[in-house]
Amino acid sequence: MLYYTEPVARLIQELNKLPGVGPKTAQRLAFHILHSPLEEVRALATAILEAREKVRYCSICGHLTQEDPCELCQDTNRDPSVICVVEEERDLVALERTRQFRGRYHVLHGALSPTEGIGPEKLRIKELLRRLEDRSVREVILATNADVEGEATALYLAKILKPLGIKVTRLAYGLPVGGDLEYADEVTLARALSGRREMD
Amino acid sequence: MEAAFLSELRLKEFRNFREAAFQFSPGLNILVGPNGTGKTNLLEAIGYLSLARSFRYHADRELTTWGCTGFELTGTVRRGNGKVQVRIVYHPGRKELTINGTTQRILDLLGLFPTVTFGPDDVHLVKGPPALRRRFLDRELCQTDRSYAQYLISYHRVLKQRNAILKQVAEGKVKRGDVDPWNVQLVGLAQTIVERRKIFLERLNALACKLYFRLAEKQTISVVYRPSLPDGKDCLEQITERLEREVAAGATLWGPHRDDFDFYIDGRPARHAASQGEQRSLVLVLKLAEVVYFGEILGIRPCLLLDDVFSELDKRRQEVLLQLINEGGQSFITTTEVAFLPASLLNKGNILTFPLGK
Repeated sequence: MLYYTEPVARLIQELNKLPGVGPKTAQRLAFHILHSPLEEVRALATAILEAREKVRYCSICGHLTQEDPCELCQDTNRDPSVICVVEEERDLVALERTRQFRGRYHVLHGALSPTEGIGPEKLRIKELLRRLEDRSVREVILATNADVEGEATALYLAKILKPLGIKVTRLAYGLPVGGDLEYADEVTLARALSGRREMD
Repeated sequence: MEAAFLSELRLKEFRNFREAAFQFSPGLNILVGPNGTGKTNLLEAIGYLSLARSFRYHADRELTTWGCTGFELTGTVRRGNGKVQVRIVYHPGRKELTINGTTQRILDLLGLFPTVTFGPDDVHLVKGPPALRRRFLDRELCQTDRSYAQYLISYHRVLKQRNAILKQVAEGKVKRGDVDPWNVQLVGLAQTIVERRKIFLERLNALACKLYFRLAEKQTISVVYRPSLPDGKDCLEQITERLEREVAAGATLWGPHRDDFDFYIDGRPARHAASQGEQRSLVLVLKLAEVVYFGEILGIRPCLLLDDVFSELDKRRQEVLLQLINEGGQSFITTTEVAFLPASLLNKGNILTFPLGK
């Protein structure tokens, strides 16, 4: 059954492939595009194409970049002796927004997940080890997610990094700032309690 | 003691209820009607509001009316002077909970409207497969301890990952050492879960002993936990030593998912020796103990969901159950014939006749 003329049907079909976009949303988006001025649509299409064509992964840290190495890796004001390991580019951006961390990053592009067939060789671990070869790195901060896959990845990395004589740290588990204690879930609260610190 | 009770329930496309609304009494509610008219389905819907799960352990999609894609339950729970509206909407792959109009995690539902269920299948708790007893443990613990539910979810997630990697080791795709990060997490979570189950069963044992006596049974009973986890500090090492067998099996061979507990009557294992009557008494006291336990932990008298139980119990056992119903709090009882119920119940119950609309 063909309800839409072929180009429209194909547009809907392509949009439908995007994450979080079901058939109804795809249809809505397609009609929004069809009803938009041609310049706007062209700008969108160009933006999609350019982003895909011009952006690649930094060969050092694995972050998205236009030039290789990326700005962060070229920035001489950043401390090269501390590397913060994250799962995704999004996590890097979140940490960068804090403006608290002045070291370098390393993006793994995922976490260990045997059920999805993701083993250590599919993560950018070899690249990380290569960065540690010249012994200039003092500390590796493991900033993988606090879920079971992120935790397993952190445990795996700690096991191979520690014998290299590098300080390995893990982000603290704690309460969300500005959140009321009573709204924290029990496990978060229990972890925050066991990771409590002495007041200065 | 304060009670939590369900004053209203609306069902949409749940089992045989295409669209239905009920008002319930804060005390006793009796659902009367022939088999296959939806009495137990209504109990199931009520129980669903405790854990967002069927107490018959049916998958969510099976709860949907034939030919429909999802269901919707909206209940009004009253506790003390408070009134809470709980709404659960299920669509394949998605389950949404709103409490008083705001979206919440399913976890936030736990303990809000505790229920204790008792049906004819519960007699299998004594002699049936261990999975039944583990479900019993999890159902009770999740309702009284939210962190237990969180640990259990994480445990099953780690377990799935670990089993997947064991299979990959067997196929020679990955190194044995790659199992290690999963061991550390699984042991940590397993120990926490086992510890909570142990505390729960110890308390349950004490309560059940007392109640069994009240049932005027002459024997003494005990409930003994059998955790499937190497004891002691070197748990992790013992597990690593056994890795070979797990690789061969392609599955994790220890842990709370293989736990069990046993009943003893006068020191004899009830699994082999208990008579029909003894099994019924055991299960009855277990359910009574649950009610007391919920009171101790949550400070709340749970709602009782009794599915066709009176016809199975003799006078003496009926008496004990009657006492519990009369103590106050909300109860739901299903029966095919009013005549199966003790006469003393009928005049105070709110009677709902099935099939509906007749």
